[in-house]
Amino acid sequence: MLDQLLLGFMTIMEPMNFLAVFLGVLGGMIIGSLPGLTAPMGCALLIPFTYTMQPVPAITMLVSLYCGAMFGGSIAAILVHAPGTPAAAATTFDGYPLAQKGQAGKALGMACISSALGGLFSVVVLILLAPVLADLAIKFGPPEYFALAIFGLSMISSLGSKSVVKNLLGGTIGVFIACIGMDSISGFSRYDFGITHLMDGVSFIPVMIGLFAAAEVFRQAEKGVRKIVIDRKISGLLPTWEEIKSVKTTLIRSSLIGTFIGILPAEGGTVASFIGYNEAKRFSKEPEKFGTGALEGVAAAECANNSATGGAMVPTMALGIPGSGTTAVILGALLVHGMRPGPLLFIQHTDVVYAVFIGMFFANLMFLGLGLGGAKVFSQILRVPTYVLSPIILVLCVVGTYALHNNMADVWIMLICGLVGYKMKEYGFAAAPIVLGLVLGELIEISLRRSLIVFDNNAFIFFTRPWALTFIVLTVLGLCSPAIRSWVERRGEKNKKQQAADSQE
Amino acid sequence: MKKLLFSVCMAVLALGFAVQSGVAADDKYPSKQINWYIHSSAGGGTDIFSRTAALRLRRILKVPIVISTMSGGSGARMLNHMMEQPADGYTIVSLTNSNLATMARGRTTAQREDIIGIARGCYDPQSLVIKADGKHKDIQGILAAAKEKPGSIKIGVAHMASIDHVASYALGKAAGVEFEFVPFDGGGEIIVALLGDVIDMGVLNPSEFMGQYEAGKVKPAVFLVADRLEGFPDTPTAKELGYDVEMATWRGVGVKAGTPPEVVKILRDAFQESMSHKIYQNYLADNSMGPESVLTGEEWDAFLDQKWPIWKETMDELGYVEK
Amino acid sequence: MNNKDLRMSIVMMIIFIILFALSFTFKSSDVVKSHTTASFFPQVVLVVAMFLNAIMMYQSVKNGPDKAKEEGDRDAFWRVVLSMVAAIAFGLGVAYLGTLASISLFIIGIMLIWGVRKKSTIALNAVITPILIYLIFNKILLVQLPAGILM
Repeated sequence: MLDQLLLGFMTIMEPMNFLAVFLGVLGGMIIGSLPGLTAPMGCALLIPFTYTMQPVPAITMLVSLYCGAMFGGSIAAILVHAPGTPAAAATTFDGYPLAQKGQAGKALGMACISSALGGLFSVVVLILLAPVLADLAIKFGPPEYFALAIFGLSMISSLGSKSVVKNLLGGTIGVFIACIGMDSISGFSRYDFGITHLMDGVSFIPVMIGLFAAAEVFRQAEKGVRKIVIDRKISGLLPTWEEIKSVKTTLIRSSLIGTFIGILPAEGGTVASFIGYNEAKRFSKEPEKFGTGALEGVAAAECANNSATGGAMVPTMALGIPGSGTTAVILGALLVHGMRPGPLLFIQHTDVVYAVFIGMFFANLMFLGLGLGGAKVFSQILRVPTYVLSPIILVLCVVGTYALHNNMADVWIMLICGLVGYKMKEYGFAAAPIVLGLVLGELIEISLRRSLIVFDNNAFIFFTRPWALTFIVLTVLGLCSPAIRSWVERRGEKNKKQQAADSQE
Repeated sequence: MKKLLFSVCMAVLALGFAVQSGVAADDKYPSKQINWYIHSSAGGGTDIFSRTAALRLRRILKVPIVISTMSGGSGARMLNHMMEQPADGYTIVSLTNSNLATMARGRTTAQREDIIGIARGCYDPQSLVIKADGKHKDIQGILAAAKEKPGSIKIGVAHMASIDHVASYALGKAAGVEFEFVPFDGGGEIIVALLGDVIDMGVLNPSEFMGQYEAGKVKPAVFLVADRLEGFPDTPTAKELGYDVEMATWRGVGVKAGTPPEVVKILRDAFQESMSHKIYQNYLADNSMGPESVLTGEEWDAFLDQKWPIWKETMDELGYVEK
Repeated sequence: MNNKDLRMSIVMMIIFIILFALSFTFKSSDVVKSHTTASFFPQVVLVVAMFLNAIMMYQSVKNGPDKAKEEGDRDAFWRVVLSMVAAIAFGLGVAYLGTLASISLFIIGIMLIWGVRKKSTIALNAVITPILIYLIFNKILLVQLPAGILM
């Protein structure tokens, strides 16, 4: 295997292949940073050009674009509160407050470093364990997905505003929005009110762009032009070595979470980053800092979503089963070049496979370089006065949302969500639970109802399958953890008092 | 100075709009951009088919061809849009099983007679696939088990009211058995479920299961075609078993009815030429489809005519027609 | 009634009840009977939502009316409202007038609403942004932008 990797390395070092990695990453970063433009779209645009290319540069370019886009999403998320890709939604929670404090450079640097480390970790896992881990994807049936989705949804209680009830209600509303449109189990339409646009449902990218980016523009409108004090001294400072070292456990945790979630065909970077973020908060010594500009939050989210890239490649390459829209296109490209992804791919096309893996490795290093070098440049965007930048952001939101499906209905949904997102903050509702509910809603419904069909309406199935039970237990523990923690603390104090009392005697 | 800058900017702006709106159309077809709409999302099977077919088409017709997704109601929005456009051949729409289903369900203003077929580019036979080392050895075994205990055979289909659903329903009806349909989002998910013993059988195309087939993990139990496939000499066909069921995933394009015959002819010839090219033929071969996939002209229209009543009847039978 | 949360939860409760009632109108297949129907999951979700909403209602009643009514900045309020109107007009413009022209008009509109008085800044922004958008989206990314009567 070592010599195959070495051979792959040599292949990637050829100028054309190296150029493919570079162009892929650069293109990915641009597409990723523009809200509404997503990695699958970028890959689909590239496909015709890859027909005439050699297999290695063709596939490497697509994979690099995937990696680049995943990181690129964080740029707009941090600078202007507009998640460029859905997976960057969790990055806004701490990235944007950091940028507001004039620490955009730090946030971007941290996003870049943790993205790259997460990505590199997942590529190593992909190289070493792809065939073994592919079995994991098969073990995950509908009950497991339901349990995982419930676990993901349980995070809404702690995400967002202070009121637990409002967070839960927001999440439930998100899940409800996911019900709009065609019910994929029965094939009948729900809540479409006769509007053709709603038959396919409300896709969550317009909702997310509206709630995060457009709402922020309206919030800026409050300030107007006169009251803006130029306090935005942008320190282009990158994170220090100490700061990186302080988040190392978070990075390891997020890498594992991201890779694991990435391997599961029905899930991807978005859920990975939310879970990564929430777990970092749960294990943190200072959870109250999350949401106000904690570097650790940026690291957790970005590391998790980029490590999902390598994870998603596992079932794509080893099973021929794409885990996400982007990997579906990559799978198509593999077919075009006469390689059939599946258990035999690693035996039949060893040379190309390892070259692509090494290419993916380099793609992560490449955006590390481009990102760190560019962090200072990107953060200069904040020097542009808000009254110039904000209208441009809204324009990008509209154009990007339209480009998503060439559909004005998406634009209207985005704008409505922008208005709602602005107004609901007054009522103590946060955007994050709604978005998370919307992301997970469909998975929850489908996996639940699919389980009921497959297992003949036996609801105990969620407690008898090991993986499903694991996630159910984790959910219960997660929901109870604040209570358990305070109980342990009280006991600890009691013990201390007891000891103190004992020693006095 | 500032005033000057301002007026220069405004002049540029005015000029830009004037140039953009002043494009005149020529008489000869094609003389301007052709808009090609597809109903599914970017990166999907129909998207890749369209982009591949359009590669040579651009050179042949010498006009820009822009492929845009217009998703919404499984093609309903795209077909409604087509109905609003003039029948001049500058609006091409993708045509697949799901579009026929949408029309049959009455979810769009368009009906079969509103569309002229231009060309078909993909023909991927449907098959029922089982696990290679699973409980059931062949299709007879499955049908016997389903007969013995109705609803005990779980069959994975990509969405309800889809080609997968209709195909397996038709086979079950012909054989006099009832399957339990388990809807999934696509072929990949069906294979995972099959390998993970969640379902007994899945409806898949060769292009979807080839990887796992070559690795000896799954095998097709029956193909819903008339003659045995070259690559699968050992797999029986539905016709052999005595069931007259012929179902496949196919993809093609069409234009609005009323388009002048000479325009239709230009398009049909252009598609024929484009899809005969090596690039397109390679794409077909790589996706386990034969060159017979390409079908243009009257034959393709006849093919649609043959499929349309089947969809209409089955959708009505399954209760999917919206009244 | 000076209680935001209570007002909100009453409105939401009414919406939830209407949506719940609507779920009984969903169609179901005559052939596939063994499956849960389309209305199953929305009903579950709506019941949960109504339950949570009831808790919120209870809490808001218990907490009583809002303390001091915040005296909002009237100018800020109108800026936000006008910006929203501009955004909706922009959406209409994109659909019917054409993307690039609407972008220019929207940017000019928003900057005037926000109180920018430097004509050169407004003009530069209104010219450069549509050009960049056109180049990036139409030329590089080959995305079709809606073209109305203007461009």
